[in-house]
Amino acid sequence: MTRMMTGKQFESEVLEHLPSMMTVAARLMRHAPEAEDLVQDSIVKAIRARDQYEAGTNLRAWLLKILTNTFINRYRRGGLERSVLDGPDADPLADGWVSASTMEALRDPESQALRPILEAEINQALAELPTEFRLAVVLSDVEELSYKEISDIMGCPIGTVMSRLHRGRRILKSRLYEHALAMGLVGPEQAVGKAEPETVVEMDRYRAKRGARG
Amino acid sequence: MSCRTTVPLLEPFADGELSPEKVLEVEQHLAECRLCVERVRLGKAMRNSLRQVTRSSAEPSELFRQRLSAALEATRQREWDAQVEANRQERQRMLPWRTILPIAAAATFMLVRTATIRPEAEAKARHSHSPQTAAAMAEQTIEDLLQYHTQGKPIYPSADLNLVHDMEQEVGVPVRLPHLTQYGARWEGGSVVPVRNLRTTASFRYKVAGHPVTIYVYDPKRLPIAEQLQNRRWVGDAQVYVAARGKYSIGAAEHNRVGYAVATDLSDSETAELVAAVH
Repeated sequence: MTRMMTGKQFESEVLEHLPSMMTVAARLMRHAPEAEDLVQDSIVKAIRARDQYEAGTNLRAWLLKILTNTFINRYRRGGLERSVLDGPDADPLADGWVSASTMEALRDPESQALRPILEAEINQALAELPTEFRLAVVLSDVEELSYKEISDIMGCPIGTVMSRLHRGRRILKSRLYEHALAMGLVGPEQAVGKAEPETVVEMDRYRAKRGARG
Repeated sequence: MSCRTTVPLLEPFADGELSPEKVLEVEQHLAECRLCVERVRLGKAMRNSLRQVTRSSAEPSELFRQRLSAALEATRQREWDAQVEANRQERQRMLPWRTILPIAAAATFMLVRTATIRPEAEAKARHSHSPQTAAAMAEQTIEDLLQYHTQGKPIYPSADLNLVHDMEQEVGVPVRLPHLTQYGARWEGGSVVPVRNLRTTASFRYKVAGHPVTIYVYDPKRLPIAEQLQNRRWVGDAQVYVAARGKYSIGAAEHNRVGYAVATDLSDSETAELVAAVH
């Protein structure tokens, strides 16, 4: 038997997810008051539509879907962009842009996070991502939702979710690397041409194959 | 596996989206590739920093919480008004010859929903209705109503109008808000109350001038309460039945195939008036 929830109970369960909704809204809207408006409208909508919530499913994901739809309806009449941004990814090895020691230099050995000076840069880097990438990254990395849940929220196939995540993260990494370069945390000589030997071999094989094909 | 085949799997690997076999393959590669290990570690570092930065900057302010709770209050009020209006229209449809009293939004109620009615128990109750047992069953019914009235506590004290529908499914008849505002009734809570082991009555508890008053709404085909009370009276054009038990009074009436009962510690005539007023 499905569990009956009263309006009050449902409301308090919804409000438990207020921080998540604020987190996502703050990444969709430029200014805090706009983010608050978005959250408020989404919660009111959710309460009014509570009959449509399927008990036992992820309430947080359901709320974030309402929030995303509210955002799209109000600010993105044409929906989220797809055609230009969602093509197949050309080169999976494009991540091989820096050596292991350079990547290591971007991290803080203690905290398992980025070095504080780079962490400070993340806000700006995230803000500059295209909305579709930013939303995918926040839903996955911050809200820890599954690909399936994100595809449901964003209304796109799982493959598109994966590609948006990959591209979003790659842009973030490039930004952080550029910043690290500018700050002198890593040297440019580490970045190009000085990859680990086995990688050079891999790269060469890869390039040879591509060359042979193309 | 080479870097070329592993790299596209690293993100799904870190996101926990790979099948166990693929996880194994990736782990085997990581055991021998420092570059891919660093790729995974950098990805994780970035995720930890993203969480750190985004969560700390999104705390809802106290002012916003207040604004939100006012908005939700307004939403509840709108839903309530819509429900009251729907009830009013339903009453007009069902009682075209009656003067419709203004329905005040004072009474609110809640539903307790637990077990569904067990069909075999209900069938048994219905079929055991023989002349020998009728008197005993009538007494049992009155006892159950008084038992809840004197000792039972309404389980949900707060308001929720959207559960009217579910309450109706439970008791099997249209349930509408009793309107007792002319008596200065104060709402205390609501429940679905079992009578003779059947979850058959929607109940509303009020206080009228300091006296607890419990109102029951039920299907008279399943619970023929009115015919089990001996004393018939007329209150205006309404036919009601009352019975006294100790210092308590029980009143019952039927209207449009819906049964209404009232348990009070008021006099029989006051009880009769209340039961005539509730439907």
